Amino acid sequence: MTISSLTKKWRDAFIMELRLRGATGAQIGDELALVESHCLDAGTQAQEAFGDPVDYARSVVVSATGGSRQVAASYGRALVARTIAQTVGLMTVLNVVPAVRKGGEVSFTLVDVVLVLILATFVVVLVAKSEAVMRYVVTGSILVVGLSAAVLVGLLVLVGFIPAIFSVAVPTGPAAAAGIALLVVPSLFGWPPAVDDAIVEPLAQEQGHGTTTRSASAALLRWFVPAAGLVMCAVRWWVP
Amino acid sequence: MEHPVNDPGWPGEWLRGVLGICVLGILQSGPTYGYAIAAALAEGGLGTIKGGTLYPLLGRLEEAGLVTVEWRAGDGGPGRKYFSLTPAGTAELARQAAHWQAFTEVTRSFVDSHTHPEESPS
Repeated sequence: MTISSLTKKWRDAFIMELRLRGATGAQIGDELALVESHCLDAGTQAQEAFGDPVDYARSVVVSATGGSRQVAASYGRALVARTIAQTVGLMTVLNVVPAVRKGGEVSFTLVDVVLVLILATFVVVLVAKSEAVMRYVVTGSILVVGLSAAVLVGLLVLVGFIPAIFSVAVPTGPAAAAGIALLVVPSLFGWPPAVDDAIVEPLAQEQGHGTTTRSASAALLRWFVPAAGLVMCAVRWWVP
Repeated sequence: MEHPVNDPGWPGEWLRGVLGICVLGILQSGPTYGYAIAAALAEGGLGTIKGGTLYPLLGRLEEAGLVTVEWRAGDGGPGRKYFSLTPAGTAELARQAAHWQAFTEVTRSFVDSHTHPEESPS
């Protein structure tokens, strides 16, 4: 095994910039192998032959074929729909808990509607402008990113002060069933299916490196929202 | 400005204008890989062309359908990416070569009198 001509720092910066530009794992693997192959032939390091990794990554042609663009757009829409569905499900079951505790119907107020609208907008922007958001988080200063997160959380807290102009009462049973269904079903059916976008060398015979890790992390992501919902319902039950 | 013997020091804006056609010309001889292209450019007198300049150009040529690529295994390591001209690339090379020939004839008419001032009409 030859010693790599790419330092970890050069490689990581190169991969990060290509990911931010929307390159697929296969494209990144191709570009990495190209850099390493050239440096091996030239007997030089990547920094000398290719310069700054971010500048070079920005000069690389990142082409998304028509098919992959459609897949990405379809996956984005499915992800938005699933996130909104599970958010509505979570908020529903959180409203069901006090209703069950006190006996009576589940009530939804303007606060719930506004929260769903804000979170839905947030998710749509996050998915539609994922590259811009990721670049902002990755390259922004800790202070700016932290302040931005604080502003978002503050906005959500302020929503709680909206007067209960209207309130809609729903029977507990149907509300609980709908909430649990919206929360659990997308995770149960693994929808949308995770996209395997590992970085793969162009001549790699096997693509198994990290599969187990990817499966474990994919399962964690898949069940994160329902698990968080269970914990939040338990807290709401014991700490009314 | 002094330049090393193996680096003619061509202005960058000149190189940017001709690099594409020179690379297409090299590929006319048959499929080859990036480092070999860079070596051929250097041996031909264009100087050192770094990977950071060459491979984005090759990527644009591929995107334009003028070259195709194929990875071939080497003796260990990541292998080599071979580039070869497509029929469209061959046609584009012929078109650019004729155009370049005409362009150089035009520019030489302005430049020749300055390289041989004893021959200028005035």
